[in-house]
Amino acid sequence: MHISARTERGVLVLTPDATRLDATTAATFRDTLIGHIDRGAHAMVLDLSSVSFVDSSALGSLIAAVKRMGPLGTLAIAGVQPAVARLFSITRMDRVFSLHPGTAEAITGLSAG
Amino acid sequence: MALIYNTLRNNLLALFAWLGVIALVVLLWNLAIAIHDHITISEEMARGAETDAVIRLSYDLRREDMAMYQSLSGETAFIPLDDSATATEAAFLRARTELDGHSGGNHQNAVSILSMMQEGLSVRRDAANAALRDDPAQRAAALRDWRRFLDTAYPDLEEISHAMIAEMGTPSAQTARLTSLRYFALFAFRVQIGNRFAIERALEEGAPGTDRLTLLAEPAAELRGAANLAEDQYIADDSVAADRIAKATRFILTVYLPSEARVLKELQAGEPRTSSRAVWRSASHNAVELLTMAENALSAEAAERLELAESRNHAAIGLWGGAVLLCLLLLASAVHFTLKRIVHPLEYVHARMLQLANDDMGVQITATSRLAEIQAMYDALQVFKENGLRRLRMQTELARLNDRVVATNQAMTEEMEAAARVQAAQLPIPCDLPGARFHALYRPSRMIAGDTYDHVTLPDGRTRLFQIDVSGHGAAAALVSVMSHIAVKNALLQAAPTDGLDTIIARVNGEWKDSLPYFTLLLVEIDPRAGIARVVQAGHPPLLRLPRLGGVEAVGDGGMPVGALPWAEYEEVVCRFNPGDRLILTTDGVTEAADSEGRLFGDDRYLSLLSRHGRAEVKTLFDSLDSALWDWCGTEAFEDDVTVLVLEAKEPVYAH
Repeated sequence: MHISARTERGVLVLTPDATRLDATTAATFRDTLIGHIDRGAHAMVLDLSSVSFVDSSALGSLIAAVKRMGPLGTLAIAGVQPAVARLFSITRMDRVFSLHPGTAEAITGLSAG
Repeated sequence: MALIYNTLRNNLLALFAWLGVIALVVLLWNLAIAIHDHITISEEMARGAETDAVIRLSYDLRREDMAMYQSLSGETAFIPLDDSATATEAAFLRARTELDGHSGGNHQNAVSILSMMQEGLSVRRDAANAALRDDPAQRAAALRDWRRFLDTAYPDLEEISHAMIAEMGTPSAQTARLTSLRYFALFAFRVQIGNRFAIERALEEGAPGTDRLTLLAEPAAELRGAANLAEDQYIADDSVAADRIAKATRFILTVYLPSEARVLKELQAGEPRTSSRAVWRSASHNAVELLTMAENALSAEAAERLELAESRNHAAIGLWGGAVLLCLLLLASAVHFTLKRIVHPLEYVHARMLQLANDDMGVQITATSRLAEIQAMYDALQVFKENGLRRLRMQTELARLNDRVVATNQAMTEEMEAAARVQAAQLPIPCDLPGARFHALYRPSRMIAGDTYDHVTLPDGRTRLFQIDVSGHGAAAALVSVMSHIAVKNALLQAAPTDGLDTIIARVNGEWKDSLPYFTLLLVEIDPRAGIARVVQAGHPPLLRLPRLGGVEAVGDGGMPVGALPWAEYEEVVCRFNPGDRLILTTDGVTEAADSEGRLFGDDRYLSLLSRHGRAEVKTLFDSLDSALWDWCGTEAFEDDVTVLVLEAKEPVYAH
């Protein structure tokens, strides 16, 4: 799995090119996110528009990233598909991450915040 | 069979055999020619010696004849007769010996003729010698007798000579010209001496007729013709024999024949002069000597030429014989070299290659060769052997490693199975709870599981039941699973009966170590007396309620996993749980079971299955769920743990 990174209006936008985020890629996913955070990214948009499935391991990676950012950082997630949205809903992670329909809205949300 | 004979060795040997046969045929052919020449030359030498002896006898006999004539006629005062007699006797002996050594009727006949001739001559010689001491009349009588005998002897000798010459056949190139010159010399000698006697007799008798004079002149004409012919033949030759014959011929033509002509002319005129006769006699004597010398030279040269031919022939036999031996030697050494240096090493390499191909590494490669290619093969053989040994060592090592891997795997499997048994031991078996029946479907994905569950019944009849799913699976997930099991169960056991489920879970969440993975949880409390169930959902799929009268409804709308965020809050939801109602707790292994293309079994299929079988016997429900999942995944081994717990509300006992 490759996660492309670009900066838009001062916000780091990460886009994984996978359709599934599961146990096989969770470690890479987690290390990539932690890496960006450790290099100083405190406002981050994760574009999951191509991801149709997220399992508990990948969710663990997201939680680890949120913990690493601390209370001052914000992780916004854009373009979640229904199954992923349902997972976030069941685990109440929709209250931890800010969910947006697309990356533009997410960036705007972060800039405003 | 063809395969057996079609070997390198046999091919090379066949090649050598062909080359050898061709070379030997060529050499032996030449050798045979040389040997044939040798036989021809030997025969020619034998015939030459015979002819020589007879010719010499003719010469010696005529010389003695001449000496005897001169003595008896009183022409000379003293002639050493003994010498000429000895020479003649020696010539007879030699001629008889040569002819005797030859097989054949003619020769035996010739030998007996010669013997008789020798005896007759010996008698006449003795008589003549005796007469020499007597008066002239006696001498004349002895001379007449001598003459008569020799006049009959000469034709016999002539006949033998002719027979010998006929038998010699065509003379070889070396001797042809010499032979014809010898005939000339012999002819000249015979004619000259024969005519001498005829003329002497005519001189003694005096006044010959014209016819007789013509007859006496004829031999001179023949001699002149023959001498001219011989002179022509000898112009280009510079040998000793040629020189002698030329001298004799010239003498006959320039001295003898003119002197003879003068004597005959005077005789014809009827006034013979003593001086002319003396000159003629001296010339005759000199001619005889010159012709004898020429014959000796011719005989010697003929023998010399034959000897030269013979020595050349010996050299040729030696050369070709040597060549045959050398050829055989070369052939033998070529075969020996090829077998020793090429064929045997190749057979050696071949045999050892086969051994190496059969993994027989005990083969010793000790041979060395002076031929670079063969040595390279030996070196390659050594490399093959070393590679073979290395390969065998690697195979052995691999087999050993494989055994170890198999053994380790076996040990690990056994350990995992043992661990699974330990883990399974903490899970409650299906049983009756106050007001409810508890059923469990438990399908760990890898023997030990991240899923776990348990229940605690409170003194007042309420039962609290939890289902946990640790993210991931395998040994680490199993350990976390056991830890979370203990943590939640302890929390349930230590909680006050009045503590709400949300409080208990929040407590577990707060105490869960940050470094450990989070887990999801569904905690259900059934209260049969109240006919209700309370639920806390923590990141887990929702509790499903199957009311007695039909339908499937999800209870609750989510909650944070335990151990994810320390500040998480939980809420307790309440639903009806009346007799006949079923509550179903499910881990995400069911809905997230994927088929071969990665498609999930999903909520819809699961809910549909529950709609159809949710109220059947629980065993039937579990069987249909099992088979639906196996059909979906195409395998009996699930990717994730699958746990389904069913609580079935019973009619309360106290109601009766």
